[in-house]
Order: sequence, then structure tokens, then C-alpha cells
Amino acid sequence: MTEQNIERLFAQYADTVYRVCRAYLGNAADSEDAVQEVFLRLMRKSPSFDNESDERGWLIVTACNYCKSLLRWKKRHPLTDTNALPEQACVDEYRAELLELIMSLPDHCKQVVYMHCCEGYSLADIARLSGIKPSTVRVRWLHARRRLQELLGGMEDE
Amino acid sequence: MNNNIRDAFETLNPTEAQKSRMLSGIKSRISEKAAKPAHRGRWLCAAAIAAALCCIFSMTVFAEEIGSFIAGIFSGNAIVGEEVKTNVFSDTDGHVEMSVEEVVSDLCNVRVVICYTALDEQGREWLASLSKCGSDPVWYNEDSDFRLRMWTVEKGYSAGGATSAYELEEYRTKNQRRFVLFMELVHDYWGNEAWIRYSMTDNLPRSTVIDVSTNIEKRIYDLNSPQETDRLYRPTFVKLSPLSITVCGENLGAFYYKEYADGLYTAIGSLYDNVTVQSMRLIFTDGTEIVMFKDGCACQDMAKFGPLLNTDDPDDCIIVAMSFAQPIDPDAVVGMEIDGVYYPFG
Repeated sequence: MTEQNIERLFAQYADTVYRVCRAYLGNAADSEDAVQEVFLRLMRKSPSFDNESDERGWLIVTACNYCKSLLRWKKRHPLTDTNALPEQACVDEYRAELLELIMSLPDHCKQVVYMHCCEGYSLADIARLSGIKPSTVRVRWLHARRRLQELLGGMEDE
Repeated sequence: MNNNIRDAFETLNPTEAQKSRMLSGIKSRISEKAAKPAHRGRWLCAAAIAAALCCIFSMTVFAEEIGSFIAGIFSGNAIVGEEVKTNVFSDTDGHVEMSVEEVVSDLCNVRVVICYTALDEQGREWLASLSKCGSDPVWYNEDSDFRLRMWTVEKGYSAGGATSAYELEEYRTKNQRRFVLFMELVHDYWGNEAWIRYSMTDNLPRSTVIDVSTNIEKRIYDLNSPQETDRLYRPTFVKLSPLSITVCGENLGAFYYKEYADGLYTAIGSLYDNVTVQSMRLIFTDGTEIVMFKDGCACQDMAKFGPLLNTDDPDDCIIVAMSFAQPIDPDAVVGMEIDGVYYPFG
């Protein structure tokens, strides 16, 4: 994969990958680092995809797995983040609250929530792209949805 | 709810400045990797010349420049030396050079020798500042973000794998420090790659994926266990290589499993809580033996026991998975005894 290809893919998917990383890692500095790692892996692995949906899915799954690994490492090596970049302000209080709720979900649920709600992947596609059982994905989605409904209260599924 | 969640995530979009910074970082690391082959060529050329001069001059004079071409930490071993990969990867930031000097693996047990070589005074100072943090085996500098860690790679991204690190103190000089990254996997289905995370003087996180595929033979012996047993396990087969032994069998209550809604099981009880293996010996043709367990305690330097995790069948069990402190010759092993029951191999 050439550097030009990576630039094109970065322009197309950087927002998506960054959002996923921010949802896991919570701060801009680590998320920027994580985004770089994901695209470098894309260049190193140069996987082939049947369609754009699979291409995007690969990046999301890779980002989720990288972030989970990093969080496990950080848990065992707590550091004071003295170089944190200024965080973006969220102007909408409701969205900020919802985001906080999503971030409080277990790590394995966040991936399903993001891919299903934001990117529109079916649960079957999420299972295929992630390499985990469809029943596992279903259970994680049910847990996440139930949890969000409990916390938000009175919201109907769309 | 989906629309609300989608809108919430939109607030996390990066700014243009962030995107520019990330893309610059990616391009910078691509350029660094592209520059490596020339550097490695110069390193190897210098090493070849130095090796030739060893006939005339004392080896110790050139030890630091040549590095593991002479050190042969694993590659000098009579049993597995030929299967050791050498000079697998290198990287530099101009102040230190990090190199993956040796890799030996049977996919259950992976050991990697990492050498840091200082190239200038800044590099020497940084090298001297590395220290061990607490009881954690991963080397860590409290004032920086030094990382040296290894994971398995599965399906293109990092997965799990127990890992530890130790320094080869005997090889330490003011210009070089060597570390062994050791990954012990209860299972050997993780694939042929390992992901190494490392730092250099700028403490930026760097990583590389290395090939840990192996030609080290792993023998599988079926074990004939008595059906009637008062133990909480029944060995059914063993996997033996020069680096490790894994005894597998049926779980008769050694481990307790919790079933999750998705049908997967995770073990929540282990030998740490309820040691079931009290004694274990590996017996050789010349009558010698390696004592692996005695009075319920592991006697080898590196030991790991574990139930089969996340299994579809709670009756599957890894009774003992253990690494040998020194490589053994599987040809010379005639059998093993566990808790008084002898199992011949072959």
C-alpha cells in the first residue's frame, strides 16, 4: 500500500477512527497516537476488501482492539498525563451526557454500539468483521441497549 | 436512540489541526521505516568487518560494536540454536538503536532478545535512566513513558498473551543494555506474529510486528490415564518441545467455570486457589530427571498453569503449562510422572 493510498484513506476515515479511539481512551493525545497506529497497521497489513463497508469495518475493529490493549497496559502503568492537549468543548449538554453514558459502557459493548448505531452495520456484519460469534455480538448489543435505556429512561428504540 | 447516539459521537470529531498532526505523524513514521534498510546494511557490513578482525584482536574489544553476533544468547544453544532467528528488526532515533537480536519460539513460549545501543552521550544518559518499576516485570522509567512490551497478534491486531521482561545483567555496559521479552502462551493458536511496543529517547510510542513462526518441533503424546481417579483432572495428551510442556486433559473439578449468556465459559477457579498437581517429574533416558512440581510448588523458573479459558467445552482443561528454564532434548525424554502416575511418552 502506497503512502498516497494511506493519505486517501486517512482523509476518508480519520474522523471515524478518531471517534472510536476517543470513545475508548477519553483524551485527545492518546487518541491521536492510536489513530496513527491504526493507519500504520493498515499500511503494514495491506488487507484487501470486497467493499468500502468492510474497509471501514476493518479500521473500526482494529481501532477498538488497539484501544483495548492500550487501556489494559495503562491500567497496569498509571501515569499522570502532563501533556494532555486541550479537550474539545461539547456545546450540547444532552449529547455530552449521552456520550458520557456510552463511555461508561464496558469496552466490549462500545464497539457494538458504535458500529451498529453510528455506522449502521448489522449485528451479523459486526460479528463477521470482528471475528466473534454472532450470539456474542447479540448479547453485547442487548446488554448495551438495556443499560443505556435504564440510564436514559423513557427512550424508545428507533 | 440510534440517531441520538450518532449525534453524540459527532461531537468527538477531530479538528483540522489534529488531523494534520496525525497525518504528519503517520508520514514521519513511514519515512523512518523506509530509511531503515540502508542503515541495517551499514550495521551488518560493519559487523562483518569486525568479525573478521576478531582473529587478530581480542573479542572483548569489539564486543559492544558487534553485539549479539558474538553474544549468541539463544542462538548459541546446542538444542534450539539453529531455529533462532537473528537480527530480526532494528530502529534508531539517532541517539540509541533498538534491535531485535534474537527470536526463539515454539508458539507456546516466545523469547525475544532486545538490545539498546547508545549512539551518543544523550543515548548513554537515557540508557542509564531506565529502571525497573516496582514488581512489574515490564521495564519502565518513572520520569518518562518508556515501554517495552510484547503481545501476540491475531487477525491483524494485538491480542493477549502473558509476558514478562528481564535484563541480561551480564551483558550490560554503559553503551548497551539487553532485555529478554518473554511471552508464555497457554495456547498455541495465536498465530505467527508478535507485536512489540518499545520506546527510545524521545519516548514516543513505537511498535513493530515480528515473525515468531517456528520450526521447533512440538511432539504430541497421547496419555493413557486410568478412568478411576481421585484427582480433579485426567491427563489425555501432552505437547512437548525443547522450550515447554503442556499437559492437557479433562477437567474433573480442578477449575470452576462460569457460563455467560453467549454460551462461552470462563474459568473462575484455578490451580492458584486449589493446587491439584502436587508432584511432577520429567524423566530422561539416562535416568536423570527434571523436577517440575514438588509438594505443590513449581520448581522451574517460569511456570504457568491455567484452565482453558473462553472455551466452548468446560471439560477441556490445561492441567499444567510450563516453560523449561533451559531448553531440553525431547528425544531424551522417556516419560513423566504426575502425582504418582507414570505416563510413558511414545
